[in-house]
Amino acid sequence: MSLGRTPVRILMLVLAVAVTGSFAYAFSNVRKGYEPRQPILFRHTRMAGTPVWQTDATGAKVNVGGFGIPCVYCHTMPYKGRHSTVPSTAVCMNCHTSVGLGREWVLKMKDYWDRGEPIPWVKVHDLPDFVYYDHSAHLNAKNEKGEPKIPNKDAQGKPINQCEACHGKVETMEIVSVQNTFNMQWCLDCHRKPDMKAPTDCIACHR
Amino acid sequence: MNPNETSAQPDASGLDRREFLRLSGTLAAAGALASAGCQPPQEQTIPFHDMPESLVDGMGRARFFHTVVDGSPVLVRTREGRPILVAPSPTDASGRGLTVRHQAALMDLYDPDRAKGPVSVRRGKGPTVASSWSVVGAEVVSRLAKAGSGAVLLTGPVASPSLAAAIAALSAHTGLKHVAWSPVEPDAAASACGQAFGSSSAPRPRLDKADLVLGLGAEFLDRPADGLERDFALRRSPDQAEGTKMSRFVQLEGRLTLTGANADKRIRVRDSQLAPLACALAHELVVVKRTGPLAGNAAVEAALAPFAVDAVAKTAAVPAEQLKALAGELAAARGKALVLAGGSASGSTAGEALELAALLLNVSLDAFSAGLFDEAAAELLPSGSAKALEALAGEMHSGKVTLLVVAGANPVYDAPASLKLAEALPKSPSSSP
Ligand code: HEC
Ligand code: HEC
Ligand code: HEC
Ligand code: HEC
Ligand code: HEC
Repeated sequence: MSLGRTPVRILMLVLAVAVTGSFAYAFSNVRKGYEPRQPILFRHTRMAGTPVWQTDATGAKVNVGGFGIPCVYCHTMPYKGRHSTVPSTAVCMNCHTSVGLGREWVLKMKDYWDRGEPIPWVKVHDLPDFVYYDHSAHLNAKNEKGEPKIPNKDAQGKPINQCEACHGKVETMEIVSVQNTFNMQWCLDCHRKPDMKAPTDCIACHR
Repeated sequence: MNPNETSAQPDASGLDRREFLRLSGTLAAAGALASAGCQPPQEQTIPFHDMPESLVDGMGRARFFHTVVDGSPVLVRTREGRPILVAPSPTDASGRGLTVRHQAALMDLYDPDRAKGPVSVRRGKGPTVASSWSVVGAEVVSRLAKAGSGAVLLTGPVASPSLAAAIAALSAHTGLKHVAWSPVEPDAAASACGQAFGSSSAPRPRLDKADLVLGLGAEFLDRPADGLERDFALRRSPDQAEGTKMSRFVQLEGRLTLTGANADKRIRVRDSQLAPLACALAHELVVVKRTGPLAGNAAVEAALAPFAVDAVAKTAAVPAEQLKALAGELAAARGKALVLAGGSASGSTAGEALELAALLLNVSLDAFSAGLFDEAAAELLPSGSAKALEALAGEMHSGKVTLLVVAGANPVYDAPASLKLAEALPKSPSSSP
């Protein structure tokens, strides 16, 4: 083989790797958009969404939107513990002993309750076990001015949900799906923002 | 160029079209595999059915619960609902501590083959099917009612008083006979204690208080139980507190055991010779050196008369001087010396004699009166299960057992083959939860 050919050969190889590599990369994120089906069709739109009042045929006002239940009514722990936790069926039964009793999925949920079985919700956000993540450390972090580092109001000063920073607008989702890539780069992109002053050493997340 | 060789040769570009396609094809396949085939597994979030008030997951708080493992009260530490550590219960007055068996009991909870609930096996009727306690319970009760006085409950050793009470209540109600079977039992020690003290309850040896320990085939390091090994280890570190010194351990044994390997001096003798050797040591102490409360006791001296050191040393092929020196050491450490028998020697036919000789030595060395045995932590030695199982096997062979309920025992696996239990089982209808 003559010397002149070697660089060409290497160039072609690199090209092959680059073409297929970029394809693989484009398809490789396994988290963003993940939207598994749940055992109970539980709609955040209905439970946590904003109310939409309409007048029905009889002239009565009915809420066809959501009930605006605060996230922490159900996800009780994000400010206290590592996990936000998914509510136990007992929380649903606080209301559903009296409301929505005619609805198909409410009845299915009641079946679980009556059998004494927890509902096996499918995990939507699931970091690998070798990653350490803590909700309370994020949601309670404050900057020098005493404001939460994860914003709780937008540029105009309108209050926003802190959860949105990572989970997107869950209250508008019929079925919860993953809104961000939730990979290491995504975590670090935020941690490196100057106003976050969050740790970037490996041991912080891989303990 | 040879016209027959075509595409295999690189063309002017260095990487021909086919090679490029082949390469990118492989890489694309690998990429597709990596993205599609390697989806993270789908997992579930199982919340509480009804969450206890004030529980915060992952807040660094462990929860504890008390239970009993292998007859010892333990405290199990759990994180997020998963047991992670078996620790001694702080309320356990015996202070025995835990052994490797207790610690390892944790693994059973994660054993993928563990029974996760009742299953139903019908002999000759295909594979096992999952069942439920209400079904199993009703069936056992109805079968018990039908079986009458021929019903037998076979369990493992029963250490828990509440379980014993429950079994007693069951027997009183239904006429069920209870047999507890354990493949390993200190039968010889129990009967020796019974003969010597009138009760088969054995005080706990305190190896941490003894300056000199003589083992007669003892295996307290091989089969750790009761925390003897921990007591022993306390005195085996060269760094001892002011006023105590490292203890010395002499072991007489046949087979090399882990315990013997840790002795300062190990003397090899046949297991069958251990009992006569122990008696020879007693002879030397009591008759020759006139040590201990039994010195001068005519009956004891008469009983020990055939065991003069020189005679026994010859049959046992141990130098007589060695034995005499050992007896001298023991006599010098009187009140601080302790003798322990056990292991396979104690399980042999001469086991009872060996255990009795060890007791005699301990009495002569004032080990009991000097507090080297903890009477407060005395334990009733379980015994007699081999005889009971033998009787049961006989009844099963003759078809007298109308219902056999096996709970927590596996006699076909661990009972002596001579009982032929596997053959006897089909002769008695059985049910084993
Ligand atoms: C009425 C109770 C309730 C309320 C209110 C509620 N959720 Fe949920 N949430 C659930 C349940 C139940 C699930 C599990 C089923 C599912 O994933 O849809 C869940 C799932 C989630 C998940 C996905 C969990 C996973 O497996 O990764 C996120 C994220 C989430 N909720 C965020 C929110 C946010 C943000 C709010 C407030 C805007 C909120 N939830 C309000 C009950 C509730
Ligand atoms: C800084 C980003 C971030 C913010 C802000 C955030 N989460 Fe999460 N959340 C995560 C990550 C990452 C996971 C996945 C954790 C895992 O798999 O271990 C997660 C998981 C969850 C889950 C699944 C169960 C669990 O706890 O592991 C729920 C429910 C949830 N979040 C709810 C919320 C709610 C409600 C809020 C707002 C109060 C919120 N999250 C705010 C990053 C965030
Ligand atoms: C604060 C009270 C409250 C709580 C808590 C609550 N719900 Fe509801 N839910 C309601 C009301 C009100 C409705 C509307 C009833 C109707 O439309 O008839 C409803 C409707 C529903 C419906 C049927 C409506 C639809 O989405 O199509 C489902 C399913 C449901 N809830 C599931 C749940 C589950 C699962 C939980 C627990 C994680 C829960 N709810 C907790 C108040 C509550
Ligand atoms: C929206 C921005 C943002 C994102 C996205 C984010 N973090 Fe953070 N992280 C923070 C902030 C802010 C802090 C707190 C810094 C401080 O202590 O003031 C923090 C702190 C941490 C800490 C230290 C907590 C402690 O106990 O000291 C860990 C670990 C961590 N993040 C892990 C992660 C992981 C893993 C991800 C990705 C799944 C992630 N973070 C995504 C903003 C973010
Ligand atoms: C802010 C949190 C965070 C920090 C800091 C961090 N990692 Fe990660 N790391 C993650 C997350 C989240 C993942 C999981 C990525 C995934 O599964 O897509 C991960 C995955 C990995 C992996 C597995 C590769 C893979 O894609 O599965 C390696 C290796 C790794 N990290 C090394 C490091 C090293 C080295 C450092 C220090 C330079 C570091 N990480 C710092 C959050 C972090």
